[in-house]
Amino acid sequence: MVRNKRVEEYFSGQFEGRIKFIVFLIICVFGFLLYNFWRVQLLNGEWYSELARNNRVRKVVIPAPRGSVYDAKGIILADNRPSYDVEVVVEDIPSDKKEDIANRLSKILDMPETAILQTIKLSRRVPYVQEKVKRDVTMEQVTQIEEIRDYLPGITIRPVPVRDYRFGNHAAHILGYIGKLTAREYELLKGDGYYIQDSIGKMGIERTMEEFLKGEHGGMQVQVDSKGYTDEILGIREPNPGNNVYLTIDHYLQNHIEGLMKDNDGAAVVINPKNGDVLAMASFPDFDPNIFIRQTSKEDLKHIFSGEKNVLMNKAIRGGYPPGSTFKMLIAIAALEDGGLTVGDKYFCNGSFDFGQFIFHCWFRGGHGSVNISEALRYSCNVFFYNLGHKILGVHDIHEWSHNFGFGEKTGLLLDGEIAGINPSNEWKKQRFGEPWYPGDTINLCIGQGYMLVTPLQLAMYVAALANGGTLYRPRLVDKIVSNSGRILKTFPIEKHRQIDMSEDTWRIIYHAMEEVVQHRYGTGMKARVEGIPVAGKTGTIQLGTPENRRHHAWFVGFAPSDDPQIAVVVLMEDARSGGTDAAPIASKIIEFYLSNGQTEDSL
Amino acid sequence: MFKGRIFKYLNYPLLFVTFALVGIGIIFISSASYQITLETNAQINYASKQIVWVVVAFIAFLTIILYGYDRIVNLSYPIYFMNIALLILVLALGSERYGAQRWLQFGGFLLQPSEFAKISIILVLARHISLNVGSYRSFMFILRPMVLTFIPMILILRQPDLGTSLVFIPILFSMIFVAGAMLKQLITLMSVGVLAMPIFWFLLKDYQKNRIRVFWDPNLDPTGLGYQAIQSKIAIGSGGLLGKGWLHGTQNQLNFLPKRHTDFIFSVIGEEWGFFGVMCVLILFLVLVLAGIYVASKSKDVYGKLVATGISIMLLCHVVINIGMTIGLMPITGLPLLFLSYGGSSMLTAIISIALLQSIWIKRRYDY
Repeated sequence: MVRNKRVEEYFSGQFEGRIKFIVFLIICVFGFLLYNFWRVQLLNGEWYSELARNNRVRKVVIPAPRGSVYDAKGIILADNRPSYDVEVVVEDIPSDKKEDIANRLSKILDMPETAILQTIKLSRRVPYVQEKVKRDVTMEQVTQIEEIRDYLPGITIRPVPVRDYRFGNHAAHILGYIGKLTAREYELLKGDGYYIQDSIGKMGIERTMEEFLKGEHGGMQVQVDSKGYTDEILGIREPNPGNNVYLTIDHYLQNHIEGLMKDNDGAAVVINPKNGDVLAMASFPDFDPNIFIRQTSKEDLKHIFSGEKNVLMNKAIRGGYPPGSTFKMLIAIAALEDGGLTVGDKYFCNGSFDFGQFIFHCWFRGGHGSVNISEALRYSCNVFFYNLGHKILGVHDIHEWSHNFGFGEKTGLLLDGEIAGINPSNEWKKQRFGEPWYPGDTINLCIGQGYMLVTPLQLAMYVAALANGGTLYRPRLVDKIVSNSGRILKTFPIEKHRQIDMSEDTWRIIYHAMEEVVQHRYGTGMKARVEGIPVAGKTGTIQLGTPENRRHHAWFVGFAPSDDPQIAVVVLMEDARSGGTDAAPIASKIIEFYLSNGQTEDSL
Repeated sequence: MFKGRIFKYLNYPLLFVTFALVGIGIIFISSASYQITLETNAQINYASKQIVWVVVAFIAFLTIILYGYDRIVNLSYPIYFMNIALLILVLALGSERYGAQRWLQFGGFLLQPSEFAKISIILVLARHISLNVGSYRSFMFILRPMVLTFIPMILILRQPDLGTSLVFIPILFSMIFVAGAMLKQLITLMSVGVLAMPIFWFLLKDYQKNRIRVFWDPNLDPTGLGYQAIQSKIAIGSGGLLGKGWLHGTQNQLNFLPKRHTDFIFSVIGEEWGFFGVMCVLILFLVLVLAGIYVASKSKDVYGKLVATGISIMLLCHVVINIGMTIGLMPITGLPLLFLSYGGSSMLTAIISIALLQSIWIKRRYDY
């Protein structure tokens, strides 16, 4: 070790002084600590004892109001309304008063005494934490409880905002609903600002936009009196309200469609072909999301979840259906582009098509005679398309064109539960059924039957692409997120998914044929006509079930005005007669409503 | 045992105080975890686990005393660098708790290298400074110790563990002070500290910043940290003069106190033993720290003086930061109370510190 004179000098002199200085500091520090304990424990001991005795300091969550959901024009579809919950803290109830309190409450709240006693018992789990006796009680009940407050120690009323779906069933499948956190969700999410009795979006926009809608909860530290009522607020952190979501949905159009279709099962989708915006999307049967907010009986909920018809299913994105004859435009495009078909080529339809031991029928048993591609589309002649499948198209061509138009893959809509549908191919069939693809499968595929399954939304995007000349957009459902103070936080851009490459001639043939479907006097889609507006479209009728138990679903797909398309419409009616009879008139009314500025007319 | 005589030269007051604190710790860990022990049918019994740690720590105690602190001098740097390596390892693959990554898993044990870092920094600073005493005029006299301190400190801050890293500055400062640094150098060191504050703040994670903000304004987080702080204060305040009695603290037994067998053990003592108990424990700690300083002043060599000083100041910091936190004098940072809080790493750190002090004390009179 270094030893020099200077060091010796220091350690024999100054060092002790510095040590003494440190000792002095240490004693000061301990004195300061002890002084503070003396102050807290002896000077203010009584006050703290009082706080501890009934644990008078409670923490209370102040839930953040959830963001609202608006339609494209700023009409509120979902927001919050004030409500009152009755809560209990068992430690505030004198033990001999429990029965009396349960008895008084059961009269006011109209619920069995045993249920209330059960809740009081439950509230023992965590000391001094409020347990809900009943949610969302009426103003009258609140008044009644306040009147006899002195007889109800430990019972408090807490105002809480609850979700309100303004128009009930309106746009239910889009909005979805919120519900209480499950135990598992709570475990996963407690670090992200959720509290134990919190709600979370379970379906639809409520679920997919949860992070924006939720907001940030606040909290309070309160000192309560001996009956559990707040005496003094010790600390407060204001909640941060959730952000508002603006949809692309047109409330009036959506409402009109719901009015038109409420008596049928099915779905309808309306797209703006110029940008892919979803203007309306409905699925039937529907439901009222408010039932998940109200204190609904278990039986009611059971009915919803396990009813014969799954009302929660959004058929527009979750239902897979054969496209039927609405698929014929795609087959025609494939044949014209890749199969060398020309407008001059004709096939003869005598009502059926013999293929080995199988006979494929045309829907018109009398036969359409000799028809070319335009006429075949106009009359929806199956035999013509059987010939295409037999003679000039392979499954590979159809698979590729289907892929181009977005079939067999999710559209990427911002809703949960979307399915991809099925775009069949040789490989797919081998994998799925262990069987090769048969030529008969291709023939069936050419009229949109067989393995092909599409969702109404996919079909709508395909029709929109036909309407706008070949741009396949991604459907856009959410327009923007706006903060509570009005600041735009996020906008969702228009997204082109794919540009479909086809010749001007092909395009013109298809476009013209679709106009003829509606405008020609023998066109199958005559009933989709709208006074003064040129409509283009295509009907489809699909067969399901066994011959003994036959079901028909009706499709109509179309766009209007055909010279400058502003909307693309898909209507699906389940258990109907045919596309031309049942779906086309609905489409006609939807188009008429939208294009004759129906959106300004409040029909609610 | 040929070295048996060394026990005659132990510092017995220091030994007694150590045992007293460890004993009180076990008594209050069992009170703080009484409910959980009952609920789990003694599946979780922190008190008996703590006893196991005390035994392990006592073995470490004997090893160090028999080995002698003067031979550890030469190991200062290897220990220091090994500890740094462990700290880096923690950042890379440590397990996370309460949002902080402080633990390394070895078999069934969770090791907290940041606890040991306090000892290793004391050893390495003592080694370095003792070799350089006298070169007071050189700027290097304070620069190298600063670098040696800041490396582990920043690593620990990144875990993030604000409390532990806060202990490093006073250790550095006191050791340089005792080694005879000139006033000018001490002022330089302090200014560097003040200037480094914004950088320090930048290194903090959001939740650490919040802890400090909440300390100044408890209303920022009334249901979280603010609530913790006030519940702890209620526990202590309601203890009054004599306390509510062991196992009878309502704040403790009714689950109002967070982390009460670890960081908030002192709140339980305050509630159940009152001001009287607080005073006893504070006096024990005071005796402990002063005994450490006494060892420093009596040590026969500079290295011993510096190690003893560093250890005393480290113990003092733990007392001030942890106990201060329980009554709202300090922000809530998650620093255990040495000897009393539950935890293997902190128990080992505490007992190793005492072993070093004892060894310095023994060597003063008896060289083996």
